[in-house]
Amino acid sequence: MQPIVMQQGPPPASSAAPIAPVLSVTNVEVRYQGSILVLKNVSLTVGEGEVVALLGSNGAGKTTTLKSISSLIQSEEGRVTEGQIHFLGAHIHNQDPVSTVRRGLVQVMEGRRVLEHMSVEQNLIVASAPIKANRQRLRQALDEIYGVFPILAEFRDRQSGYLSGGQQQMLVIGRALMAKPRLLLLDEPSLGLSPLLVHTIFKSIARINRELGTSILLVEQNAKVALGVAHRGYVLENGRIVMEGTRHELLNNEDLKEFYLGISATGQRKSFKDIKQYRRRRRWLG
Amino acid sequence: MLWETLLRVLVSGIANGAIYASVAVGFSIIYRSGKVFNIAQGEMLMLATFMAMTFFGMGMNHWVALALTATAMGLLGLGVERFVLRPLVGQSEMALFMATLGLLLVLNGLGVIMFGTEPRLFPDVLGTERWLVGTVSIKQSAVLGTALVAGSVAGLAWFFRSTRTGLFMTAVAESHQIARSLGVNVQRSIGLSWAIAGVVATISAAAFMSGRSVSPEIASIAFVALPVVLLSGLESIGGVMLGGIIVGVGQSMAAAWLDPYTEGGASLLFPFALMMLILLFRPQGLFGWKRVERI
Ligand SMILES: Nc1ncnc2c1ncn2[C@@H]1O[C@H](COP(=O)(O)OP(=O)(O)O)[C@@H](O)[C@H]1O
Ligand SMILES: [Mg+2]
Repeated sequence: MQPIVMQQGPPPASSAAPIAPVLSVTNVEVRYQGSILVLKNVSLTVGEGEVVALLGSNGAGKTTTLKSISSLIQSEEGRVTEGQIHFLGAHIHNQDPVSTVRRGLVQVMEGRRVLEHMSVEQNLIVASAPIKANRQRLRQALDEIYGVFPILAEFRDRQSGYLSGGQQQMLVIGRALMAKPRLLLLDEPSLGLSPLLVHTIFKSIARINRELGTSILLVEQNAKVALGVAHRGYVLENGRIVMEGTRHELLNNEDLKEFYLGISATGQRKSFKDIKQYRRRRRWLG
Repeated sequence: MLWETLLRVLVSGIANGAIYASVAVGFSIIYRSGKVFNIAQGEMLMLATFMAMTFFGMGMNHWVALALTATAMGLLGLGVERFVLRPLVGQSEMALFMATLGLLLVLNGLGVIMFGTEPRLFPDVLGTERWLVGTVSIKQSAVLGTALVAGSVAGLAWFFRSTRTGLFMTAVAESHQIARSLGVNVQRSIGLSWAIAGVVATISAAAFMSGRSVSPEIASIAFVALPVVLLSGLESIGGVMLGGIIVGVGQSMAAAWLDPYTEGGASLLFPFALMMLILLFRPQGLFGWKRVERI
């Protein structure tokens, strides 16, 4: 692979509306423990080769959305109670999460969940579980990941618990690629990283999409950085989709500018107090 | 004179340590997979021992009988996981522990019913020769048994570190959720752990029972394996060998030098005193997993 050339935004070719969605979430309702209603009538799609951002503040239901798609929600006693989720034409909601991974849909969980007592390379090998891999194919897959993240090759024998935050984020993304997924779900890859590292990680995300053709559903609180790589986006609030649009529509939307990008119409940062008031108003309205 | 005592202490300590290690490694393998503390590990050893003796009694070749026992014990492990523990998925660790306590009582009762309480002689599968080193006599069966255990433990450590299936199982040991998110079949890994533990119990029987008189009471050896597991660290595989030898040799030393003054109490107490010290000063053991703390 070539070194990354800085790019302004995603390639224009695929920014058109999706023709054949890889993933479609239709009118989905999700509850925890049979009663706690968290997602209400959520619908979204991810097209072939697209990067789609799912934005929203803390507690909006972003992680729940990803986990209901990957079925990882089951280990928290969550269930899709209404609606449907399709991936490459198959029903995938309330399934065994392992079967969803085998279909080519891998979630990178929030919080850089490395297998901390195992080495970098061991982490990657574990992630080859869904593919039939002989020694040679495994080597190839590893080298491909090391091509995307050369730092992982350098630290391949290091215990992953002792990597830096940025390196761990690279490891969990690289690890997800071992299964050669068609769709990658990324949960807040920027969380707790320095701006410089966030920049590096997002360059890699754009490159994975461009060069490996992997479709990506990207969850972020950091709307600005997410819309830097996404073709389209949705805004989730209180478990509902309240806004959707292409990257440009969202970047130019006044509400989003104010409340997620932190820029007011006059180009100034809104104060926290205003945002709080807006929240309060939303709660009444919603 | 001192050297001879020391040699004798070392020889018996290492041989005992090996049997502790072989039971301890079964504990660790099961504990890692599902955080289940299988208190019935000693009963599995007892069952393997008597099953093998039953096959020997039918006139089978020793190695065929042991292979058959290993297969049956592997299946038993799978069965226990499938029908005793899997239905309890999602229950507390205490509930799982109680289930293995139930297993202990059932297997113990079964052992007594099927094999009686009378001690019986286990055949000399590992030979009867003795070698003299100075005036200390070393049994061939003890040397071979120790080597068999050391080889098995080394093989298992390699398996969990270097094979794909073993790494899947190690990932399951770290986190079921992460393993599942990567497409690892967690339930299958747990089942496999129980099967391996069953096979390991057979290896322990072959390594340690040769030429001994055995009764269902041998299951209690697992209680000394507990301090070994804690000393080496619950998740460690290879570490049990060192842990076993420390406990075994320590116990032999206590037996040689302290027991005469304590009416045999010191050697009984030593493993548990050591266990208390480990829990106080290094709860994760010598090689166990401690959550990585980063600043
Ligand atoms: N396991 C759970 N059981 C009950 N409620 C949950 C659980 N996980 C999350 N929630 C609730 O669902 C809502 C959305 O959470 P989450 O999906 O984690 O939001 P986000 O990722 O956008 O911060 C929150 O109100 C949270 O309290
Ligand atoms: Mg979240």
